[in-house]
Amino acid sequence: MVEKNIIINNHLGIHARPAALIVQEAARFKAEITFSKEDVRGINGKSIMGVMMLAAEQGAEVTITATGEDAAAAVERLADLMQSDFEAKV
Amino acid sequence: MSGSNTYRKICGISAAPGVGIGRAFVYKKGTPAITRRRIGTSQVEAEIERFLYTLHLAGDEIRRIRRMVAAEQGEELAQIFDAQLAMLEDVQIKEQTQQWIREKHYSAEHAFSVTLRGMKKAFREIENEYMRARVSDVMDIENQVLMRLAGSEVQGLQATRSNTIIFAYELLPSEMVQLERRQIKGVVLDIGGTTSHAAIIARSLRLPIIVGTGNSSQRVKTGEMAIVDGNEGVVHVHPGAEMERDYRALLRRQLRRQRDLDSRSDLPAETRDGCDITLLANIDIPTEVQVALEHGARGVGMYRTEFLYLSYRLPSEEEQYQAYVQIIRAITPAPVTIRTIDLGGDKLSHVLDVQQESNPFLGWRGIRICLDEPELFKTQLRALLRAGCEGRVQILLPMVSEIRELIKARALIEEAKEELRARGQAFQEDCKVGIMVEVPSVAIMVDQFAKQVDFLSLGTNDLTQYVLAVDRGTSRVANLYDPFHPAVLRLIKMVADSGDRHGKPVSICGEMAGDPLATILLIGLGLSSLSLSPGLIPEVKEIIRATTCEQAREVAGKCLEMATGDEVCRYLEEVMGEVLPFWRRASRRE
Repeated sequence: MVEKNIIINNHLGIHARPAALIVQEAARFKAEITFSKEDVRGINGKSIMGVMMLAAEQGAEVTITATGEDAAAAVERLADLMQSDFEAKV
Repeated sequence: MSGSNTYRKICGISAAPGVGIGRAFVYKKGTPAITRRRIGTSQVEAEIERFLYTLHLAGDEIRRIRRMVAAEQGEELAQIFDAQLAMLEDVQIKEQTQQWIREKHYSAEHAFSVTLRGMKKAFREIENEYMRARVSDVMDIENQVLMRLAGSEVQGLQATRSNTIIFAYELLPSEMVQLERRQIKGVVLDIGGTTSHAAIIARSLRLPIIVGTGNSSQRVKTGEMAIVDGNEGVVHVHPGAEMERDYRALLRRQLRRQRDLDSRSDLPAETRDGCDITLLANIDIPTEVQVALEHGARGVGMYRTEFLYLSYRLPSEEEQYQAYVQIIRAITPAPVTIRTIDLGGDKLSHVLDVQQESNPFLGWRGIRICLDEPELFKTQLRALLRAGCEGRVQILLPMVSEIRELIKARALIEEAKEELRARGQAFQEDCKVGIMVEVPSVAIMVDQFAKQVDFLSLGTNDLTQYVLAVDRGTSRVANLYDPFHPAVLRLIKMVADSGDRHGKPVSICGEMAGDPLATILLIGLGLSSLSLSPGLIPEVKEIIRATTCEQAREVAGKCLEMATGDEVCRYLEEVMGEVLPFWRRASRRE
């Protein structure tokens, strides 16, 4: 199991479009991916509904957890994406 | 209901001139009914199969719309559909719905709506306002899928064929922009007034539109033959061969006249005694700039930014920047005046905390919202200021009613500049700032405002409403709405004179600026800059070229002394008869 804590930088937080991007990326990996934030735990990283309900605003700390063969790569890639401002990436 | 194939005449109010001939398409927006039936054990797998197949179909449709929006409005806007697509394919939704079908033997539509009900509830409980508003996305896909499960075709506006007349209860601006210009020949709405947004867009698309027809969308069936007569304000259903032939002849004459006007679009808008009048375009969507240029506009006098905000979420600074830049680049070095959002609170209820108002026109709207929601406002201001680097941008503030609002807005503009400086982003430092003159208090006190702005723009639609106490959207009183009323004319004169005294340019951007009957009068009142729907520029220009400044001043002087708007109009029709003998006003005043 691989785990990493990151801070959300995007000023609007993870709204619909970033959530769509995150889910798209997560789906590329075989690993099981979950997100946690404060009291919200074990959100399925491949479900846009889950990611949106995480309601991660700017400055929120999110824990990315992955288990499976490509877990390390998945955490690495998602941490990069989630810390970006999204605007520039699209 | 009348039987099919019989002639029927439907009366309404003409909101845009012209004639359209085609087949009716009745556009209905409905919420699908959900059947709470249970299924038998043997049907479970088939029901799951039906659910998954429906998701697949709905996904295809969203992808199709996405492609269309990308091609027409740009990739930025199209990306909003990515989120919908991802929701539609969401694993949680799929798994939970299948679980309900399998364990509780719910029908697919029941299982799907129960699943989404849980999701919507969770969304509503989120503290972040922005995320909470995503409920509307969930509802959107819910409708798409349920409608298909229930077996009813989703009747989108994109699904229309050529030569179509649209009949609808009402059309939202966001729906109007979907109309395929080449295929739609006319629009007939049950409700609405002549200056509703739907009417304004129809005019810019050069589509005849009849509003306030009561219940025409229920009296007509898709596929029936219809003629929309935007000159007379009537619709003929099953017109018969003879009537159709007459109308086709009229249509040919109109097309010839249009081509004739278009061929002279390069000529200057100059009176016979040499007064140069600046004709600018009012636009709602970036792609209209091309139409404006083709018709000889010398700039954009008012870009209404509301469309950017009518989607189910707020546009980002970047999205706005892209839209503004698209317009500016297309028309530079001509100036672009961009009006900051002028929406009523009701249009923003998905992102703001809005209360029901009994008088929305006198309520929380325009600059009032912007000053209360500085972040919303500054996001737009930053996009505007940045876009200014690509050409010449002027900021136009709507609904100002007192000086304090202007001062506060200016302070927020400075804050937005400061934020851009801190980010190290380039922007237009010397961006000019003006206000709409549309609240009577501003027209009356215009001297005070003229000192503190760079320019003034007369919004005669709202000014008329406020001066005459008439809601133009209420069909019962719409006939009292009259921008030719001498009370309105006197205010226009006051504003024009004040601008003159203070050396501040005054333009007019209300509907009146595009009404050929008003052209000579407006010039005579002292206005030398008119901003109007692109399609109306050629005709207005022809009138300018046929009159003189001297004559215009004389005409305006007489109108100012008249007692009623009707008197003014009758007189102006007489004047037009002398100036352009073959002229006939296309849309009749009722």
